[in-house]
Amino acid sequence: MRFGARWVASGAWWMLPVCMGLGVAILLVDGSVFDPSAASTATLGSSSVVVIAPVVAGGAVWSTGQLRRAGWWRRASARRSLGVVADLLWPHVLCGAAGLAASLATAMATYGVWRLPDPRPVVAALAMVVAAAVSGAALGRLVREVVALPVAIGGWYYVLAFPPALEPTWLRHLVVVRDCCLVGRSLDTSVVVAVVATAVAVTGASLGLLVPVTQHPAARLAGPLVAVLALAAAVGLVHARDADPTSPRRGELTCSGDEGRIRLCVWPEHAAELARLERVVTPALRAVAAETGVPAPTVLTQDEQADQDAGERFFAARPTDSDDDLERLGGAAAFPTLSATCVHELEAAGRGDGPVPPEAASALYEAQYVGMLWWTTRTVLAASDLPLSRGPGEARALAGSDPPPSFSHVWDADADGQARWLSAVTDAVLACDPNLVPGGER
Amino acid sequence: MRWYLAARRLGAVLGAVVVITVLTVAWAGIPLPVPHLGGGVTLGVPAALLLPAGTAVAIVAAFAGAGAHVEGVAARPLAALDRAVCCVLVAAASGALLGVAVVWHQPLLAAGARNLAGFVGIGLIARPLLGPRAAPAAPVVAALLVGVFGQSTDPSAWFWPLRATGDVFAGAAAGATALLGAAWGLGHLATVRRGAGW
Repeated sequence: MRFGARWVASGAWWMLPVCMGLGVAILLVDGSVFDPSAASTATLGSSSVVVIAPVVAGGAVWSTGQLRRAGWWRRASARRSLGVVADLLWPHVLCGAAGLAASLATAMATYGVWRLPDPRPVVAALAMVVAAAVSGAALGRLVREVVALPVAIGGWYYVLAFPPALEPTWLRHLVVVRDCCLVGRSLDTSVVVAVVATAVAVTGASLGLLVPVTQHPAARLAGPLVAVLALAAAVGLVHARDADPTSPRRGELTCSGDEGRIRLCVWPEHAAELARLERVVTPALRAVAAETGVPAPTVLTQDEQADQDAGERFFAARPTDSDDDLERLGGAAAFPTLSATCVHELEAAGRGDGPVPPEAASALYEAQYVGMLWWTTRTVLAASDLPLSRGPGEARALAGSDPPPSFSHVWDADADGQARWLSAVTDAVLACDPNLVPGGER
Repeated sequence: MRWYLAARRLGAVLGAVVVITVLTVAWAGIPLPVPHLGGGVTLGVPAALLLPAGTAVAIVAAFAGAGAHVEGVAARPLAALDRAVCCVLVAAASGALLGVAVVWHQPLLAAGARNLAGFVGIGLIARPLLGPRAAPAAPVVAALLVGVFGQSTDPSAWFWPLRATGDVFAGAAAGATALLGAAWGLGHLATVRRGAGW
């Protein structure tokens, strides 16, 4: 059948504006990214598959339903079923792809990211669109449209939308790529492969139901087998993950500053802000060092894997942050945080599995945040001309909960007492030694 | 009459209506997770507001075969019969929800009864527009669109199914939609003229 005739007969001519409209509308209502980049805008644009795939599935139900009503599946045919199904479904897949493209363009235009999007979230979304088309076709072949249409549309919507609300949290990685990525993180390809594998599983199972056993005996048997294997592979890839589909980014950073001064290193996307960062952040770091005796870092970096023992500190900042925000973030970054190994040891201690008493482990864990909270609270009060007596209340508002008990102890101390406590905690955090926390040896 | 009941599959439809109504009562307050794509969070819409879309699908599906050419020569007034059966089904299901709402003081179920009438109206209006076979999908699509785009502490008029139980506009919108659906969507001639779908 000619392209135009197939396009019209499939109903894709009315599905195309629906898919594209939904792809744009969902982003206008719900779309936002924290750190605009090729990966984050591609992930946001691809997230519209949640509303596009149900439309594609509905269209596929309709197309195969026409053949079912005509009794085509029961007749002898010179054409192979798989060929007929492929001929039926490509317009629907094309509509889904156009919807995703519209969504991607909207995401890129919204955040001014005019470079090629990261292809991985797009590939995962396209795989789900194909799976929706094939499964819709299988449903349309087996069940009357009055039942198949609502089931396909509602079912695909909830298959894609529900998992992010379910426990365990890794279930979401089976169906969609989402929550990617801060500038210092990169999307794990294993998550993309898991989504594609799930789509292959659905497609395989659907093909098994779709083709007549007389024409494609191998496909009829292979379909369920492929489905089981692909689903097992998908679960195997992501079952150990938490809700985060990312890992720390690797690569070259852009740095400023000379030897002997505090060097600032940022990811290339933020290089244009380096001068402003240096102007605002460096004085904040020096102020912290002067007031507390905590040594200023040699390198302040956006690389999460900063070598703290070598004087490097991690900080999270965005180009959209105001100077006040940068002052708060930069100064707070002077205080080190516990390494992953140390956190693991403290968690074991908290369960009573180590030589460190649980109370001491808890004290060190909480104390790592006190320096950051102390600096942030001070800068907020100073910017608002509020008295220092408002400190604990402001800290509660900033932290979103009651600050650690030691915060009030430090806040109420005199300048020397504060410096001694914060310096001691800095040493304790770097050494992962609860005994160095003032009062932590109890 | 037996042929009519068989053609409309009223046994299966009645069973589906009863099951979904019971589920609506049982899960009335449970929040259905509706994704907020950008925020990475999921907002809950009470099941009582959206589950009636399932009941509406069952009721609208009963009339998927109505208006086929063969029915054009029927001696009985099938269009009137369809309207009557539809009204009885909607009244029974909505009445059950309203009854439980009053007896057990669950105002959400009263909103569910309102939404049921509205969703059935949407499905019936979709019959002449999309064809009788595609029409049952309309209440589901409407519920999904409302859930995805209408989340707000004060939903706009377009998203009346999410508005409060006592909201006058939402009640009027649901009632008007149901009446229009029954009057126009179930009009026998309209479906005959369009045939039995595409």
